[in-house]
Amino acid sequence: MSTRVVRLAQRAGFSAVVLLSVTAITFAILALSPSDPARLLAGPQATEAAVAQLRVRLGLDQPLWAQYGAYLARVLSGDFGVSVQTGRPVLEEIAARAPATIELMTSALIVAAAIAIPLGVWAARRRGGWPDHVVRAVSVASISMPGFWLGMLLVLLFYRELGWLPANGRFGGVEPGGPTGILLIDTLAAGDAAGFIDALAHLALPVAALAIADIGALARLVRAQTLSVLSADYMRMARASGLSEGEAVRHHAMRNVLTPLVPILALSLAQMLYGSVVIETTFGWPGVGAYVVQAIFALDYPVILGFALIASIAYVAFNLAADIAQSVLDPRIQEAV
Amino acid sequence: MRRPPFVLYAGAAIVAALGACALLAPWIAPYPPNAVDSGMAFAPPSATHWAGADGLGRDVFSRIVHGARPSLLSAVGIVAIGLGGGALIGALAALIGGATEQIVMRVTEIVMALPGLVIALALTAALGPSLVNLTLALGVLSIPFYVRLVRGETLTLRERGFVKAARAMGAGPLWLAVRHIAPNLAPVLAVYGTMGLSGAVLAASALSFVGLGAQPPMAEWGALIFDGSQTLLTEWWVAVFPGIAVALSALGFNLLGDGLRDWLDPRGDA
Repeated sequence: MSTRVVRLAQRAGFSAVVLLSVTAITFAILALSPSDPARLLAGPQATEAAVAQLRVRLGLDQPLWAQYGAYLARVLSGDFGVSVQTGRPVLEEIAARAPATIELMTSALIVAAAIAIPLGVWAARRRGGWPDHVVRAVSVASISMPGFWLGMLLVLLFYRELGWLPANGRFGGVEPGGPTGILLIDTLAAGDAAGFIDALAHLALPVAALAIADIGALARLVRAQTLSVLSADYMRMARASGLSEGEAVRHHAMRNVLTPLVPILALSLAQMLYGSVVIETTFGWPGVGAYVVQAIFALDYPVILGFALIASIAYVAFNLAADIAQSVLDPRIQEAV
Repeated sequence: MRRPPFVLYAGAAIVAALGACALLAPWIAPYPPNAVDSGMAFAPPSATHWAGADGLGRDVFSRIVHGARPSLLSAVGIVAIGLGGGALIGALAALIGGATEQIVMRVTEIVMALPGLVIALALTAALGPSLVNLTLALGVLSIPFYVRLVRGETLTLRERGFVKAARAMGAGPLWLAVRHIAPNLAPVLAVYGTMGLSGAVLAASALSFVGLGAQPPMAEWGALIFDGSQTLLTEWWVAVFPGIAVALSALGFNLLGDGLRDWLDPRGDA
């Protein structure tokens, strides 16, 4: 037990170091960027003297390390800067759009896992047989697929040709308000069946486009993990004691296949954080990703860097949570990270 | 050595075809990439314009063929920076050892704990959106992956007789890395580098699609797809055909990498 606590403390300490490094990186990027916060704030009409005065007031005449200290203090107090386009705080803007992105990414992660895990287990159990070859072909095709382009093909087929699914936005008409901002949960809680189906229909195509790349990568890992579990001694023991192969896999193998996947799902999240930027643009999904692309075209640096910082924090936190979850699920894990 | 697997040939054929497009673009493409012909604006695919024409009447097929140059060049650049830099740092870290190795590995761990593509996106935006900056950002952020790979491999090579002998003769870390470690890692690096090209093509086209890479009028695949996405529902061909080029090159590099791994390392089964 105590080694586990020490390990988790080390892990949390590492996460803190990573987060500190992220602020250093985003600060360095901000310093690299051609934008001049004083000029932006003062407006294009302001005189050089007025801008210089503002620069002193903002602390931009200080040495870089002092500026970094001030930046760090602002970030720690939840101040991620102000959007150049709207003049509103970046954190506020991103928080307003976060539920849409969280709903999209979570759905894609669930769909990817629900497809990839059975595929990987199937391929491993029929190693060398035709299922193995089929899964390998599906994996290669999926990791070679540009998700944003697949999204367009899906729009052409399911929206333009068949007219089955919507291709734009999260909801037909005005979004129903709700406590979580996650439409699937809010409509379900309100007993709004039509709204739930509408939200689900809007999710279908972007989720497919976002999940595709992950399915192949995940299926490969599940296959490799299942192969190593299937040859373990406790599996031989289970078979020897008279269990059928199916029973042995269900009762003895699955837990050991699935537990190591927890941290890998966290890696999938990194892929999706970035994938959502591209996919949301394709589908006009009103989330953080599409907002960041607007900011890129407007060169709104505080928003771009605020996004990088918040995405990194979310990612590091998710990784830490996944590690803790895994160590709870699998008490054998004690080695240092 | 065994016969190379079929996927190796399939991948090599695709990559060779795309490479030929890049090298021989002016001779393969029926039109110059930026030849405007307002009479042909949004002409659908036909015998004269195999993949149709875009809003300015430019031939989409010709733009895809010419697009192979910037698209593949940036992918090669990304992997060259990541693999070249990563291999050198990883090998030197393992050969020098001590505090240097510790520091390099801690920094590597930290960078690998970040969502790399998100950081690359911010870095490219800050440097100014262009294909060169995008290549630099994606290349630099892929360095840690190769550092970890090469350091691990070097740690085992370090204990082999020929490295110890060279070291006893007075060879320094740089000499060892270039003359003794690099040749022995060539097969592993060929496999990972080829697969890295697949990821690089996809990442570069995606970031160009959101405006961070090639700027108009450059014919780059991601930028072409963005161009076509504006009129997807009415003139689908402008976006759909360049996407085939991206998917095909990613597939080609993946098959080639897979095939190389199976061929060079028959024990590996991942």
